[in-house]
Amino acid sequence: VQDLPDDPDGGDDEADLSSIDDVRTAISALSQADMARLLKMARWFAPRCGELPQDLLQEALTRAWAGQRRCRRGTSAMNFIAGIMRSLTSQELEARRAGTRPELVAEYDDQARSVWGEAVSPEHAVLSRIDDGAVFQEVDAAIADDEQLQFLIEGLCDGMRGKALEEFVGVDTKGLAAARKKLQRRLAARFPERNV
Amino acid sequence: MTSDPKKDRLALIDEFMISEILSMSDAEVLSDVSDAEIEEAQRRFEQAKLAAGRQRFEQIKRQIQKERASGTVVSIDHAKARAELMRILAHDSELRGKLTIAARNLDGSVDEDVEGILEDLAELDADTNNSDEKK
Repeated sequence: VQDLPDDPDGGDDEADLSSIDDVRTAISALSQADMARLLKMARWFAPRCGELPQDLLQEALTRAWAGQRRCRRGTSAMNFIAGIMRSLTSQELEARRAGTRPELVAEYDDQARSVWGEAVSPEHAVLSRIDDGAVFQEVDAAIADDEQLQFLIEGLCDGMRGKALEEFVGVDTKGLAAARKKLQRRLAARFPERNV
Repeated sequence: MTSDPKKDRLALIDEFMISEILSMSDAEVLSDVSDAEIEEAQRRFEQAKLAAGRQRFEQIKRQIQKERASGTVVSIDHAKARAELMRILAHDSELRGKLTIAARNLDGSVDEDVEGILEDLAELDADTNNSDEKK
């Protein structure tokens, strides 16, 4: 999997970026399963900024579609949209910390007009408590009873990959795949689908 | 192995989660997300696309109306404006389709329609210049 774009907004020459048409074609080609994957990613990111996963995904797709965020050539549509969600999450969290207007409280009325909220709802206020520190608490809680997963997290956060990670965790390739799957499920369960 | 100093711990965990979700099989991921949730996401995206297009259209229309009402006439570099318009249209087939459909419906040429669009762009340009001068 390629690295996610750190700054999908700019800093690249036009020639390094996919055209809006190409991005739209790629988004239009997303399958039901791809949309499910994006929703699972949105579930992971959204609680951190106090947003609902559906809102976050909608905003990311809309910005990608409108060309408000540009995609580097060679970056897949899935990674591109995931990068936008991550970027929006960071921006939203920073905006809330600074006490400025939330950016993502967008709703659509019957005429499909965008209605931007000016205030943080009680629900958003509660959810916004789940910030970076709280994410780490959830991660720690998810792996507290499993030494293997603790090694896996430590290795991942130390930038380990492949064989080095296998040796660090003390498993073979198959064992590492199983541990990664287990960790993903544990972490996903800490941010359940109540928000979708 | 040392970690990438540009990436913090949370970013690495994010990448792990995304990587794992991307590697899930279709059957596996579809068992985690209901059809209703997927349909809702698709419906909302379609709605947002409509809203964005409508918003953009209304914005341009308002600017043109405002400029027409002011009666301002500003000369522009025609060749440069035309090249810029063609560049924009070349990168956005949807916009190209919308802007040239009137010409096709009226049995006119795309070139003629481009001329009409250029007139509107001239008015928008005047509006931008006026705004800049007021600053």
